[in-house]
Amino acid sequence: MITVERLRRSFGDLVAVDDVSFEVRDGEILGLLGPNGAGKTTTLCMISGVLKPDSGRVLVDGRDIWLEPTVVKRHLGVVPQEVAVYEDLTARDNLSFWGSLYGLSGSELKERVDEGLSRVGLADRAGDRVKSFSGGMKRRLNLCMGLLHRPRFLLLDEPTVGIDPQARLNILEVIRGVAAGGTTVLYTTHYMEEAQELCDRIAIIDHGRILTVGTLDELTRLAGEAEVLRLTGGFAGGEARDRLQAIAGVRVLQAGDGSAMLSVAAGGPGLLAVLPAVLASGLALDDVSIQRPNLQSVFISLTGRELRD
Amino acid sequence: MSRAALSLARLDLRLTLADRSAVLWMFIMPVVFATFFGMVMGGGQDPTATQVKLTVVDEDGGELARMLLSDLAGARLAIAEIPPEAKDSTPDTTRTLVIPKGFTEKVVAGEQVTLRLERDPDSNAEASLAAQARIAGAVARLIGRLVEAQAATGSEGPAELDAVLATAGAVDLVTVESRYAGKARVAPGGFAHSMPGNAVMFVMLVALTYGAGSISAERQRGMLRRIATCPVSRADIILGKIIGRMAVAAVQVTVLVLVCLLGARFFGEGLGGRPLEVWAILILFGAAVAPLGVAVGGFVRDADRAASVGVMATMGMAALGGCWWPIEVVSPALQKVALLFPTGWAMRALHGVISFGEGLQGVALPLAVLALFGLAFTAVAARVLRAD
Ligand SMILES: Nc1ncnc2c1ncn2[C@@H]1O[C@H](COP(=O)(O)OP(=O)(O)OP(=O)(O)O)[C@@H](O)[C@H]1O
Ligand SMILES: [Mg+2]
Repeated sequence: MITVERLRRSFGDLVAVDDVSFEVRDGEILGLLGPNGAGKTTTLCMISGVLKPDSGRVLVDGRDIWLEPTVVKRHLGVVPQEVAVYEDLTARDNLSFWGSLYGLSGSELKERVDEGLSRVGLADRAGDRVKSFSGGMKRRLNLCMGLLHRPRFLLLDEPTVGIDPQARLNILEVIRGVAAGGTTVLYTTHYMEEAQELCDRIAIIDHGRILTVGTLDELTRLAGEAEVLRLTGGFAGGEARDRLQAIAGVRVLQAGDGSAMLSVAAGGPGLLAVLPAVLASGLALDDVSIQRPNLQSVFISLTGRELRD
Repeated sequence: MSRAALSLARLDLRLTLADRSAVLWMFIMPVVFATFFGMVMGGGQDPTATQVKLTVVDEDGGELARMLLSDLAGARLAIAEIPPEAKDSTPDTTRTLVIPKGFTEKVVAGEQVTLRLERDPDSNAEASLAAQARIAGAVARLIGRLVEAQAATGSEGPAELDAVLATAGAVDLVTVESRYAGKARVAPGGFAHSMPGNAVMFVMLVALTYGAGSISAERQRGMLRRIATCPVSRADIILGKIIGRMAVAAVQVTVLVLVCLLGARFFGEGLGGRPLEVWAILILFGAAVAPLGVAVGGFVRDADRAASVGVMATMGMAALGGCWWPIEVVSPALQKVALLFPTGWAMRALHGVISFGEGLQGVALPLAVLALFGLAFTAVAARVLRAD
């Protein structure tokens, strides 16, 4: 288990991570979801022992990573957000080097390297310099480098940013496989779909603070919504907010020029009562769609903003 | 040392040797520079290494004059003796030593005698200095024998001629003089200066540009951060990086010394006949400046800036340390300034071995100072190197 207790870190006047606490339970995939600049990377760096927190602590299986760094790091696999590979080395040599830093050597190292290469689909490019790789291939190698020593805890920082859907599928598949093997995973992302699909539980972070933690169901229930209506049309934001707020049993999640989102509270009058009122509100509507509440609506209800991809 | 530190060091060496431009600056440029400047500054006519022409006119003809002459002949001087009457008609006036009439008699009587070294103002000044130093050495040895003879006869007064002649085969008493006389205390020139000078400069250049630049780049690209997530202690990371740069310097030095040895015909005594000692000094120098490269890389955040800081630091220390020209040609104050830099101490040790006939013990002080520089730079590197 990874226990994060009241982590705090500032850069000058900016508080990048503010009193962050959560835990990653054994065997689960916990998603850390937040927009750009939310403090995900900063949090991850403090958990992986490369950035010293101003206060708070991180326990991995009960051991403080800052007190027993080498013991803890042996069981930690870290995949950084920026691709950190030696471009002038081949894929194989990169893996061998990183494996050696985890104490692997000889035939064991070679086996792990081969296994890793085929796992991420790079076996046929093993002898090529990384310089010649595409972005997706580099990302896959980047992931592979964190898995060689079969870590019990895996920290991933946006491992699928900026790559094509196929490479993304491969990476998500590999992560699922690793988790199925019993590895505890902390997965950082700003893609809601990924968090929704991949993660057992999700922690939402914004402006350096954890807003909520739970399963997808818990989060949506916590946000108190049964259904979400998304409206588009030729209306102004202010006007939409005023008119929609007047409808009983409705909460306006977001209202902008041309688009708005509102939730229908569970236990209230219900969708069938609300919908006619919305249509009769006098707004110039082009389209109304009904959605199951999802992370998007949860995020909006928590922050009043949309989480953009 | 841990396996992880070795892994880091091996990686560094490998990446550097795979970099074509690094190889150019490690091996090709120093040889080109040393060859060019060696030839410009006298090349094969290195006065400390080769025979210097000396014409001798013995107007005395006495025993002590002959003794002095035979000693001179052993001191790597190409001696052409001409009879006194031919002196004015001889065309070669490059350098002429005149032993005056009555030399032997006056010396035995304890009177002052003056040897005259006449030289053409256009002659090679360094060669003349070398000849002068060797003559001084021979004179010193002669005086040594006189003192010895005096002691042997126990007399207070001037030595007996017979007693002096009796010591002719004996070992030189005045060993200090004879040692300096063996190789001249004049400014080394030609390859004897350009080889060590350029080796020192380019070892430092590679350490401070590729060394500093690669550390800086690794931090910029998040490699150091990633290494820090591995179960490797900070001490091992620093050690690994320093050893990697030391290994680069060691390979560079070894290749340069080998090139110099293989090209011995061309480079003459660029290694002063002591390749192992030269190699050892350069290895120590490389080890001393390797951590300085790591420190610069740790201190300067931007990789390109780190490399240019490295170039400037190297040029400054090479010029002031006496890599570009012999330190003997600058003012005494600047000669002291040279001792503020590892380059100055390395050149002092190398000249000692190459041009002044010292062994490693003879240059123990500069070697110790280089080791201290290395330790100080390591301490600085350990302080400034951070993963992010
Ligand atoms: N080394 C640093 N110096 C100064 N400010 C920093 C530093 N690292 C991060 N920050 C600031 O801290 C805040 C959080 O950054 P962080 O990288 O943790 O966000 P993130 O959630 O990972 O964002 P992204 O999705 O863009 O990667 C940002 O405002 C960022 O500008
Ligand atoms: Mg980030």
